[in-house]
Amino acid sequence: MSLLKYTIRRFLALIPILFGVLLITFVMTRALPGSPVLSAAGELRGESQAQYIAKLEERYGFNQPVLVQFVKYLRNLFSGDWGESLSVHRGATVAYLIGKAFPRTFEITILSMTLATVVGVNVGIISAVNRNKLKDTVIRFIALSGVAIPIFWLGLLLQYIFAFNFGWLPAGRYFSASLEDLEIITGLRLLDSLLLGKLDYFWDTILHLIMPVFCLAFVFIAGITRQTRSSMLEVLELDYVRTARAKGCKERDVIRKHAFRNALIPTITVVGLSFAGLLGGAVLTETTFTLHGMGWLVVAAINGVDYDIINASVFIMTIIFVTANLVIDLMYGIVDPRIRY
Amino acid sequence: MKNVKDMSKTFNNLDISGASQKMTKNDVKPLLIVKDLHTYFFTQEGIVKAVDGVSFTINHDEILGLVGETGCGKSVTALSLLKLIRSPGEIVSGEIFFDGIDIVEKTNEEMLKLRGNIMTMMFQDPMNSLNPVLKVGDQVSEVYLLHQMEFLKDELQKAKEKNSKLKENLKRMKKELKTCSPEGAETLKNQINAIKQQIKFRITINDIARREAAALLDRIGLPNAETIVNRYPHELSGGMRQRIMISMGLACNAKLLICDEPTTALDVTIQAQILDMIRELKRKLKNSVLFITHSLGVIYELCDRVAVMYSGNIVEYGTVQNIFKNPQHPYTQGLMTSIPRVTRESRAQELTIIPGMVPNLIFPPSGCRFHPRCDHAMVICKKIRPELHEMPNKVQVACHLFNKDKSGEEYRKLTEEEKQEDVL
Ligand SMILES: Nc1ncnc2c1ncn2[C@@H]1O[C@H](COP(=O)(O)OP(=O)(O)OP(=O)(O)O)[C@@H](O)[C@H]1O
Ligand code: SF4
Ligand SMILES: [Mg+2]
Repeated sequence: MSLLKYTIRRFLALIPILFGVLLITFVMTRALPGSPVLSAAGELRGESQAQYIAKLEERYGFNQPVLVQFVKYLRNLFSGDWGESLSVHRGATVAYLIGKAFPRTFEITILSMTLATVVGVNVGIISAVNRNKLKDTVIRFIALSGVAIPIFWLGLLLQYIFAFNFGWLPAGRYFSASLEDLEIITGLRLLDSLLLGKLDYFWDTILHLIMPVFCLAFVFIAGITRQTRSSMLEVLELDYVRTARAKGCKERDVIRKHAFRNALIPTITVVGLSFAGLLGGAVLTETTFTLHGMGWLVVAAINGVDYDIINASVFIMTIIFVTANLVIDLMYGIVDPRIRY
Repeated sequence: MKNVKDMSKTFNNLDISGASQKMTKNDVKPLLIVKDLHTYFFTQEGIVKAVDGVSFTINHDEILGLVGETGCGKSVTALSLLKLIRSPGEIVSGEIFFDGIDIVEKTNEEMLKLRGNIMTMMFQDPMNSLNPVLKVGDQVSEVYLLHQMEFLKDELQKAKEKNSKLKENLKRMKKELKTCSPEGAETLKNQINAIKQQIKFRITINDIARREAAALLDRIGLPNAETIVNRYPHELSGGMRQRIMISMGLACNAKLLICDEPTTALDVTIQAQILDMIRELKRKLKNSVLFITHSLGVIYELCDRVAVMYSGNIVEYGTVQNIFKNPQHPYTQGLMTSIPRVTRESRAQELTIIPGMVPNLIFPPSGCRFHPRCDHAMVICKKIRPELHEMPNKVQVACHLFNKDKSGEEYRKLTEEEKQEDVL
């Protein structure tokens, strides 16, 4: 019961955070140099430009005081109207654009984080158990390179090898141009194609996703491996692990049953925060692989000073981060009975 | 023993004396023999000679105390017995024979069968020695699952049979219910409900192990054992946790119980209870105990014999009575006078402390490792390490003071400066 109370309390705490974040982004975007109206009126000159700008400002209410605009924006936001794109995709609603971009990001995030967690945790344990032996050294070398290699460089390299040189995999985008017409159910292409029973679409998407997912996973595998290794090494020297050994526990059980859960907490933090960060969009990867997900959308919106998209994205990211932190905290409680809410 | 003697008397004329001698010998053969054990840690700073030539034996049905200052190598000695020394540590040389088994030669897989089973260890500091994320019941029952599978399987079989019998009964009663008179129906319904409560949906070997764990906790006097098995260590008091630790040592009928300062972290009353418990258990189970402690008082109360350890060596070793009556090694004497005694005369006496520091184990003092702190240190003490020698009262002491011929320059007393010369 206290768990439920705790969760509700945390969500209530989300309200002032959201309000603050929105206010700051709202004011800051408007204080930025450049304006969406200006870029919209790009071709026009002189008198006609001024008239056009005035017309647009009137229409979008940009001529009103910032705070008035903000309050109106809030009202619309909570009634479900997230505004309208001004420069990225003029005329499209923000809800539509985000509704299209977010599932792509979500799909890539789920795939790469699952891969990264499964591989990272296991490799981290292997590394810790074989401390300072050859296995460990090799793993640590690869993990370090995962942290050090810039992701766009890795992406380009992979594209060069597998798409350009061998032609095994498509070089970018989310699907082949000929297979665009998939009916949208959840927006997650893999899931939708499966639900519709269209295996060719499914396979096509898989081929497109292999490289970006691997790329993203590689970086996070590195972080997760290093974290798991170090916390595992710490736990393996603790008294209760020695107790388990003194009982006659096999080393495999010592690790699985006694050490692993205790070493998990730092890893949960790393995985959870990485997950949340990725959901906000992987800008570099999405750019390298021309995937039009959240990262791409936000960058495009910032470049075009597209107020409503920026605000809505920040709004979503805030919710994701706060929720991720809550989930992380709840997971601690599951893993470690000493943590209660 | 008695039987053997009787036999040899009866058959005195026959030539069985050889056989009987063998049997007698066999009977008094110690349970554990440790010979010249060296356990070193190869650290980056240098080789830590934590245990450097330790020999002792533990007899059947005996409590041997191991006492010494912090860092003198007591725990390392104990861990060596179970081959639990981890890298960078290593048993460099020495022999350990446990019940005729050569421990040093055993592989890790073979040790798994011994650890927690016929020799078991409970650790100092119950706070950190239990796994914080596992229920204590599961930690205790793990010992059963590791070493008493046969027993558990039998019990499981019995429990399953009982369960199915109950089910049959239930069926029969339900049938009867349909046909019986309305008066009888009431009592029958009650019976059915009672049986329903006893029937388990599914019984696994884990359930049996947990049941055994609860029974064990109950036997060692933990109240509400049924509920305690479902608790986590942080929900229990220090004394309760220590009992849990002890119960893990008792889950199997270990021949040797190694207790590494099981009472240090507890308050005095709980300490006394735990000691009582160990004594009681030992009397019942007739196993042997290696009891490690800082406290001479505990040794005096509990142990049959005692080994006094100083900086990786045993310096005095014999029965508790003899050593307490007449401590002969200067270090033991120091230890004795540093415990407070509450008698009228002793109040007048001052409590002494042993001056100096615990020696560095990477570069230990040469010769007798105690010489920088010893009031009687002589020239020879710096050069030659004294061996254990038996004294007239059967106590073994490693000290040059008891050499036969003590004339000559070698036996000149060291000055303070000479003592401290090569101490790092
Ligand atoms: N893993 C290790 N690596 C390096 N040195 C170690 C290691 N374990 C123990 N030692 C050293 O071995 C020596 C003996 O340690 P040990 O734990 O046996 O002492 P102790 O007599 O049990 O002390 P206490 O009464 O405090 O428990 C210490 O000096 C310690 O520094
Ligand atoms: S051998 Fe020498 S230094 Fe060591 S205890 Fe005996 S007298 Fe003291
Ligand atoms: Mg110790």
